[in-house]
Amino acid sequence: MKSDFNAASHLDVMSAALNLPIPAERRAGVEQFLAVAFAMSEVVKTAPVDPDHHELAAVFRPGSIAVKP
Amino acid sequence: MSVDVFTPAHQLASQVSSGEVTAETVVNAFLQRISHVNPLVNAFTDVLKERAIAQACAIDVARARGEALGPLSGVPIAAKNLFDITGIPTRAGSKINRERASAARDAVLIERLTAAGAILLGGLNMGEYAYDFTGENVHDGACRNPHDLGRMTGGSSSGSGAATAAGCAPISLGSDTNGSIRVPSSLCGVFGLKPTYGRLPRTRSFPFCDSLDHLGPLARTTTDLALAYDVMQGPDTEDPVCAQRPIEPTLSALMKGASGLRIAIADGYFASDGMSEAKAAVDVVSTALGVTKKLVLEGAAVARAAAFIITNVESSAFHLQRLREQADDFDPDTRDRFLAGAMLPASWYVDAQRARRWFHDEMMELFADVDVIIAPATPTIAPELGQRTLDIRGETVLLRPNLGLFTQPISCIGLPVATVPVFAGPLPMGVQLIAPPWREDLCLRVAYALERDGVAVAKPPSLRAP
Repeated sequence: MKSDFNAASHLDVMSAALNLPIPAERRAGVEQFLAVAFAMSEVVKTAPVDPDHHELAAVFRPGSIAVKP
Repeated sequence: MSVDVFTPAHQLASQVSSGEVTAETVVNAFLQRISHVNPLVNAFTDVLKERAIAQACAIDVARARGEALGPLSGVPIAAKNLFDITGIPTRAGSKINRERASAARDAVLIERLTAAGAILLGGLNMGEYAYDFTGENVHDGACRNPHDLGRMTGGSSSGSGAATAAGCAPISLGSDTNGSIRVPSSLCGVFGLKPTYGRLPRTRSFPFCDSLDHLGPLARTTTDLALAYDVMQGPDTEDPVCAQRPIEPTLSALMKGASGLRIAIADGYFASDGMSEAKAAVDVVSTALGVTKKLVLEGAAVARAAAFIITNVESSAFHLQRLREQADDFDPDTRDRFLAGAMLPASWYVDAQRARRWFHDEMMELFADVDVIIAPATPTIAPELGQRTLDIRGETVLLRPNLGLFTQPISCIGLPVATVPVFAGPLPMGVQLIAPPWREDLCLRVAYALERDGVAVAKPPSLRAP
């Protein structure tokens, strides 16, 4: 199912949630890149990933206790 | 003895080691070259004259004492200014970072090159926070292509491509998240190596996108590329992404060339039909190697999109506080992308990481039947400075995101790539030689064969004004 994405309304919601005000003169630029990102996310969704596999390629290795100087 | 600044690094090291020329003479020749050329190309943001001369003198003293010298003794190098350099703030192409404290210690890769005898000449211009394919930077000015000063160098390792092409540093260091070593290598006509993700430690370099950040060398010959790469290898526990693999030298195997390797041309997404310069460069390389087999890399468009989302989300989250407090200090050409990236849904990011793993697995199956894959590095030769759009396959698209069209899918899954310069016309065009994970030796061997046969060459630039 194709998503319905409105860059302007998304920007309004997220800028408030993030405390990241976007001045009027920057809205067009930000909305343009939100639209590009949405288009990219739609391409990503076409990947036939295994629905039971959820490896995110994250790297986190617990280390050793730091020695204080 | 006068020094030819286009002498390969390994030959300079031999000359210094044999006493044919002193390291101090070499360094002074390159400092003079920088003073002459940098006003034209704008590659250096910091020149470390005193440090370089002091290091050179120390090498000359060590030689006079009969001490063993390293394989890069007396070789001038330079580093993209996201590498920590002792005594100066790590600006990462930004205005904001100039207020940071000076770095207390060099990046680990600079330390390893220095231990091998290399001499750091300075820090290099780059796109702001590495979010750039053009080499244009509003704070430090555009880096200019040494082959045509009216054209782009490519980015974000713009100064690395320009400095090495212009004879200001035979080896330079760059970073590559989506193509930032390979794009400037292509547009400036030098050799570049993006190693496997996790191969070279990123310790004490300024991050862009943790999931995709790679570091690597640019050089004027394959031998220099392999030499620099070999001395930079090895584990480092301070970078959690570093794979901690033992050193796997490549230099000694270069002369095997392409013999016995199964090589194919990337088709489908990577087809260069309608891109005359890219097609010509790929044709020259594939003809020289006698390669006709073509492979379609299924999922490359997905990988490119996944890399876009991962980069946008991680980098924007990293810079979120700076975006809140100092948005006016960002380069306008990066700011709006960062602002948008801060707002993307988490599920888009998670989907992109899952797609990345899927494309990786697809490619691993493909590598069962092929050792090296040929693909164009960029869709075009160097665009003109200020150019905003690009014609690709009959469609006009935004230039900034699309210069990395052919590099993004490959770095998305961390494959090693050597980029070789081809002059099918007056301006260079790079060709990617893509190998399986941890097989940098294979792509370097093919690069060496192409260089040995005169197909790939880093020609001295014209420094021609537009």
